[in-house]
Amino acid sequence: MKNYIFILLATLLITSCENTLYKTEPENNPEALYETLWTTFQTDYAPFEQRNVDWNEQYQIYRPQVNANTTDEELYTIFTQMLRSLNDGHVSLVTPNRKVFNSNVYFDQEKTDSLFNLELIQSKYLNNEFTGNDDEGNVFGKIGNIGYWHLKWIGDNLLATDEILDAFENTDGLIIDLRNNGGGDMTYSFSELGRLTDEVRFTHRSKTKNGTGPDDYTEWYNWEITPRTPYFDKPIVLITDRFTISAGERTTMALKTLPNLIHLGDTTNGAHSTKIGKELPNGWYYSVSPQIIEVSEGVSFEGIGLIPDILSKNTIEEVEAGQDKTLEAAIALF
Amino acid sequence: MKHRIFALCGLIFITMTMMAQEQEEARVNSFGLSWGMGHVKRQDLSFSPMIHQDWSALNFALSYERSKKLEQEALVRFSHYAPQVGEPYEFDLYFNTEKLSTYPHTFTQLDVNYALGKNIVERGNFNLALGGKARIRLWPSNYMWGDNGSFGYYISNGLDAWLKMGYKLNDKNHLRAHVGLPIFSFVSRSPYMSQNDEYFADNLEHNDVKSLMNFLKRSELQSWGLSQGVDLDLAYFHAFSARWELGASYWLSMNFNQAPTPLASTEHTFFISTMLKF
Repeated sequence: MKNYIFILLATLLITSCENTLYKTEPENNPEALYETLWTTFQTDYAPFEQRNVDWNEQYQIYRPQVNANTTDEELYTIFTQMLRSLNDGHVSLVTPNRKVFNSNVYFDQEKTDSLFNLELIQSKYLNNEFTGNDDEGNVFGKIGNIGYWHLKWIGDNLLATDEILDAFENTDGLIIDLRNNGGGDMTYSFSELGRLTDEVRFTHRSKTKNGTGPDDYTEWYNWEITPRTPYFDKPIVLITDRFTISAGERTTMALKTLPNLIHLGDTTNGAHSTKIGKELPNGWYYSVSPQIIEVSEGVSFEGIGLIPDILSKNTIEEVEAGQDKTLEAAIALF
Repeated sequence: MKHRIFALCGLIFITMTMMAQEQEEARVNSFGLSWGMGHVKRQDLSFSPMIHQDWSALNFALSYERSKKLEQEALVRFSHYAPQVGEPYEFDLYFNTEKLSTYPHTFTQLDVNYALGKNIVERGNFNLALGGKARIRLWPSNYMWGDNGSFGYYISNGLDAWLKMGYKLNDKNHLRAHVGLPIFSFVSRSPYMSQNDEYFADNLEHNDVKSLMNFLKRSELQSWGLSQGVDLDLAYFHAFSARWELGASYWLSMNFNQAPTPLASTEHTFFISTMLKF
């Protein structure tokens, strides 16, 4: 009997100690929610300097606006105004029954979205003879004797790289269209695009927050593309726009190292870090950018975007008239 | 493939029957199958400051035991939970006319253990065995953040001090308890912020097995300073025949890890079990 009592008491002791072994959760009230959000950015967001944002200044502006009686609607407005200062396509806020807020004005206001029309390219320039679709992430075909490949995102759609490059074996060259590329998993670019290079090429370096202090970062990590046979040695034109973001931009960094490539179009979005989700006690979600990316030592295009060699931007009137002048400019380069 | 599975099942059945015949008197082996309701409470600061809790009926355990000169136990245990902070809700995404919904996080836990011990006390109806337990914990997770998510992992391989106690109430009923306390662990966990360049490099080959191997390569030896825990289970069994027993048990599993961030996890599970002795 004594044994049973001992076991019972030991179990009760262990379970009652349980709560002391967890860290205190942030509270679910307007002031605590504000403090949690602001502090997480303070400790885990990386590119303040690159984006020229003084986060303490944001605290001075917005903290006094929050009190115990602040409503959800008011808190949402305060949060979005504060996060807007970052203008970062990787910073978002998800709340009930609203459109996801994106700190970047291009995404949040869907600015210039209508300057790219894939259906127009499929019908007019590819003459409806193409492979793939939006759901697969790849659309490719020939425009005359030039290969055309649009990637909607970066992910397992790149596993079709060999099939696509083989299809363009006898062409005069290749247009890689990353306009409206929403990013994804950049590792696919680095595992699959080796056929476009004949030597190892450094593309960029990155470091990630690994602690709450301002200088807590991992060591720099060098990213490279490495050759894979058979080498695709034809001229390449890369097209980007303001919606080429994240892994789409890392892919752009890799492609821009190729000597046989010309970059044309509009500047990319300028959100190069990975995106890490977080949550608040009231069930809202948000995301932060925990990485610094440099294309060479001290050179970062975070918040600026990768600038093309030849600037070309469609107008709404041209697109509505059934013309993609940027694509036509790319074709003219062959 | 079906033929191979059929042949394998037949082989297992024949082997078990032969072993059963040989050991008709002793019945030193047993297979156990358990199902139960579990509750998890986890806080992993690499992902969230929130404590995530959930009840789940997706809890299974499969065990093999052999009691002869030595006590041996092999156990495979699986559980799956889906906790969420607050209620699910709908939201809209830019460039998308469809409403999207928030989803809970998912925690999957797979434990594989092999324990070996020796009876050090056998007094009346009570016996106590002491030994070691080789332990593998494989805990993948998916944290969902509305329009995006983060994969996480916690892998712990190590050796536990292992204690097994048995008490025979009468010819048909007995009690049993196990306690496991880690001596050392090789631990591999998601990095601070859940992703960094090494994490991406580990996934560069887009092969889950290779990624797992890469995560394992990053395992670090941790003693009680960084990795603490206790596994405890208490069970009652009733024998319906010489071969079959039915039981109920309570399992407690507590795990705490301090690198790269504090992780605390407690799991309570109430199992019903059936055991075949042979």
